[in-house]
Amino acid sequence: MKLIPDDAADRPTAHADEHLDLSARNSRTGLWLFAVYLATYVVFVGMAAYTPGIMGQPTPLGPNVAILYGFGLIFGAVLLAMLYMFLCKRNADQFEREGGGR
Amino acid sequence: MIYTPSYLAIGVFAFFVLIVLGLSFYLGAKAKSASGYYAAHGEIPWFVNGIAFAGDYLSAASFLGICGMIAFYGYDGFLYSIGFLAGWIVALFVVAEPLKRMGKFTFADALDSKFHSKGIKLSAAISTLVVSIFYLIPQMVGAGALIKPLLSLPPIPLGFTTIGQFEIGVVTVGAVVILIVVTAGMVSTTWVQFIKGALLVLFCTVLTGMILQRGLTVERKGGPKDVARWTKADLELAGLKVVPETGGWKGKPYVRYRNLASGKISVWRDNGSETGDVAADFVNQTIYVTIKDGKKWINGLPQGKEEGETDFQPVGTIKVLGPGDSGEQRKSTGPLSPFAFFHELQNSEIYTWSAEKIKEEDGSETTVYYPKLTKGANLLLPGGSPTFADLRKDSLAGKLNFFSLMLALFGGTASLPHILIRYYTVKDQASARKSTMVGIAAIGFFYVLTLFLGLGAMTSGVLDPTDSNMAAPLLARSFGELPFAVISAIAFTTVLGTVSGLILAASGAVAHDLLTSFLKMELTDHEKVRAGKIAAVVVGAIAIVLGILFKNFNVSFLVGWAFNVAASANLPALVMLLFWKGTTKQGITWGIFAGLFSSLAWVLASGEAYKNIYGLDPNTAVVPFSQPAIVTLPLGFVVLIVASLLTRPKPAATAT
Repeated sequence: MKLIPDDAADRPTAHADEHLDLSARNSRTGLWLFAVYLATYVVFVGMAAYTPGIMGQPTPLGPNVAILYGFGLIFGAVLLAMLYMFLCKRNADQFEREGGGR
Repeated sequence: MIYTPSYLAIGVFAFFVLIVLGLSFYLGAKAKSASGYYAAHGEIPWFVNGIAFAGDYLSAASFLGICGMIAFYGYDGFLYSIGFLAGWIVALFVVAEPLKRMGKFTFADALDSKFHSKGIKLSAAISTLVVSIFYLIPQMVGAGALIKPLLSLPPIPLGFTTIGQFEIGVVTVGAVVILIVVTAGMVSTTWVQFIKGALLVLFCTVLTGMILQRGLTVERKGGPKDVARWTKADLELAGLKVVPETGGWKGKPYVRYRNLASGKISVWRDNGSETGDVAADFVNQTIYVTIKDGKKWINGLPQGKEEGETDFQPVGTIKVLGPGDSGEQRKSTGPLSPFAFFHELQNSEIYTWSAEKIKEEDGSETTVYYPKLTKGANLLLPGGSPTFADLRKDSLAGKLNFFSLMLALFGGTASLPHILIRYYTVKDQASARKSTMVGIAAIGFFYVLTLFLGLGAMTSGVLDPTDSNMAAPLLARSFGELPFAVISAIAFTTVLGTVSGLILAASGAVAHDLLTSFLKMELTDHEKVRAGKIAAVVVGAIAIVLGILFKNFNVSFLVGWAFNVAASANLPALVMLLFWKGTTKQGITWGIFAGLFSSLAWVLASGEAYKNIYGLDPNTAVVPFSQPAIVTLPLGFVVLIVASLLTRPKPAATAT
């Protein structure tokens, strides 16, 4: 893999933006996913502050609720990011079928 | 703790640095334009940019600070991991793509893309500078702390002052980073961060595998006389006599004994029956340290490796493992699966170590490092550290402090200028999105590992009771000299990667935002790059000086403050610009200034600042808790909205 192309020094910063309508659709998708994650995060923070008893409960998997919830927030973020990629791709395909903003 | 020099570690580190510098000089020949220097021509492949995000973001605080906090206090360090990662959700779903669409080189470009206002450029540039410098301090402190076990160099006398190991570490990192940034700007910075991010995740995975393969055991030794636990009556029978309480010892849970034969004094802590398994008159031997005439005394003997001297013993051991499947008592578990590792720890009893300062009658100060037998189940819950201890009490201020930090971590990531500029190194919005996903996956995976590394260090009998930042490298040392050398060198490279990103962000703020955009200096493309390089040298020099001045600060804590300031100053402007059409240029300018200065003022008026900066009683602090975001972030929003409403453009008169 080339670190940077040989002629890159004289090129301007590349900008290949998506159509504004497509960006707006992706933005709406992103905000929905953001709301889902925010709610899960707020519940976690609330439980850490007010229900230490529940957080300390062991689970059949081995770790307690606090550890599993923490791992869930981390892996959940990765899964939501992948879901977002998928939904943006679907938005782009649909946008293309509708005429690509023309 | 006195460390013996590791030539292998020095060799591995020198090898890393040479590769990084070689790459910088090679790339420097190809990146001479402003777009090359500040944004790598927008041509970095998205996957490389994603791993570079990890290299940029996983700073000394993440690696050294979080592992150390988990090793000393358990789950509370992992709260930082969770908050640091959650912040990326704001970056991905809210900020990344619009920022990529609107900006060119810096965060100020994006904020100002609609208004072309000098006020916005000035406020955004000042905010970038303040946040970057705030964030640089803990990185440089981390660099200084790391050099100790790598090189055990004697201090260098320089007439008016003495240069110690710490200062050598700070200057080395500062010099290497300035060289990286000046040679090729964002291109070399990106590749340094890519290499560092990949190495960090890879070797921490290997180390976690080694921890799980080794399992848990009660046979690892650590602490004075392997954490001697005696009854007071037995101690007196052994020829020890109680020393009367004087000065700051009065009312404290310690008993000092003088050995009648040798005259030596030992300090024991009355830990009572906290785990409910022993009678209340048991005491644990502690390590006490006194500074007298500029010399350190440990348990009454001068610190050193010679005859008649002593040094800290490594600490952190398991006393009792939970019963096995058939109820039998075990000495070790053998190899464990990841979930079984936590299950075993929950059922164990572990010696963790804390410190307390005592003022002696003669005015000198003694620090007592004491063991505390704690049930594993209590360590795997929030509220075990001094920072979050109030969570387990019914204290509103304590809970607000916790909410405030979790809010700052959530909102801070997407407001960090050195992270935001990385969106300009890829070619389009889709690449920005994909590289953020790669970043989240790499960073998330690393944060999962921090829990294993921290808990592994806690139970391996390797901790330096005086320095939590050394937990991860010392854990590696328990597996041999090579893992220690590699992990120490990676930790050093960690500092290099993050510091170069920060210096680049600050240099962009000075050269691009202040000189070109705010002061309207007419600079050619070549002059813009030169101005950026001069700014990088100046900011680098400032970072070196501040790193040395803030030597005694807690690394994780300072980073938490930087997140508070970044979130309060930048997030309201970013969010409102994207989602409220009524936002005006005055609103953005005043919103940034309000968030920036209120959070800074709060930090400087907090109990932590009273204790660590001014040496005053934290209970007399002006503000009720230390983390400002829960107050200053909403304040930034309110000021932005009110200023925008007051400066709304008047609707044009319509013809009648």
